[in-house]
Amino acid sequence: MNRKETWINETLNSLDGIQRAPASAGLFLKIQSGTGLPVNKPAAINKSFYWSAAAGLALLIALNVIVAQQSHVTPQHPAETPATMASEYFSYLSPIKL
Amino acid sequence: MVPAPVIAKLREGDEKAFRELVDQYRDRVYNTALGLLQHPENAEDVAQEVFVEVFRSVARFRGECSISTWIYRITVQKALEHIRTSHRGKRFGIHISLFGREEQTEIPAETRFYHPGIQLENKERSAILFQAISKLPVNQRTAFILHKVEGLSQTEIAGIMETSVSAIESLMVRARQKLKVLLSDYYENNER
Repeated sequence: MNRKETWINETLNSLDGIQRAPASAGLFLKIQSGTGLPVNKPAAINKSFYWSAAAGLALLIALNVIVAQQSHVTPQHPAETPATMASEYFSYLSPIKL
Repeated sequence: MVPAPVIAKLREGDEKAFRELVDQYRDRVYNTALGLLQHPENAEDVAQEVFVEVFRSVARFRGECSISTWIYRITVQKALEHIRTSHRGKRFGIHISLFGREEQTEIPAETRFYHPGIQLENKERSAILFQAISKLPVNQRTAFILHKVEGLSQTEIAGIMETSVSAIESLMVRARQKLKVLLSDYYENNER
């Protein structure tokens, strides 16, 4: 068998072992639209989901309120005023008592 | 093989049964259409048409053949309708080229069809083969694709094409002979 015949036979046999090509995942939706079959609706969300979400939100708001309130509590140390800060800063200028 | 109770449910318009049927035959229908049309989007359109036809006409299915044969038959019919429709458009294009540039004898590489299920080492050769297959007469092309791409036996193909097994054998022999001639021409023009 010459080179040409070998090439032809190999080409004729090039489909050996071929795997079936899969259809796309969206094909069934197209089929449904063509048949008039109802498209599957998304599953209804359980009511308890909404209650859990509301409870979580309430907890978050409550935590934020508590943190905000604590930030207004008077600190143990006296608040520093500009005057006290200045006197401390310039204290090196006070005459040294020998 | 689809059990008889499922067929009965299909006739009643049972959606779950129809979905199961689609799941079972979807890839076979698509792959057959893809082999015949060599175009993924057109093959998907044909697959949709096939299942719509199945859904609408299953009530008339009397079991004279297996449901598998029936679905393949519809697939081949729809795919060939698609080819006939697209060829009507192309005839106009061929007339234009006679007045224009010299008609090309080779399909450019970028329009070659690469079947996704082909092994890597056979990709280029199979693309050349698919070009040659597209030039076969319709019956030879159908028999060849059902056998080589779908892996159906000659008996199954005879049922689908509503002819005898000997007629299918004859179609396969002639298809192979014609392909050898086409591939020989290709080799002379491109591979030497």
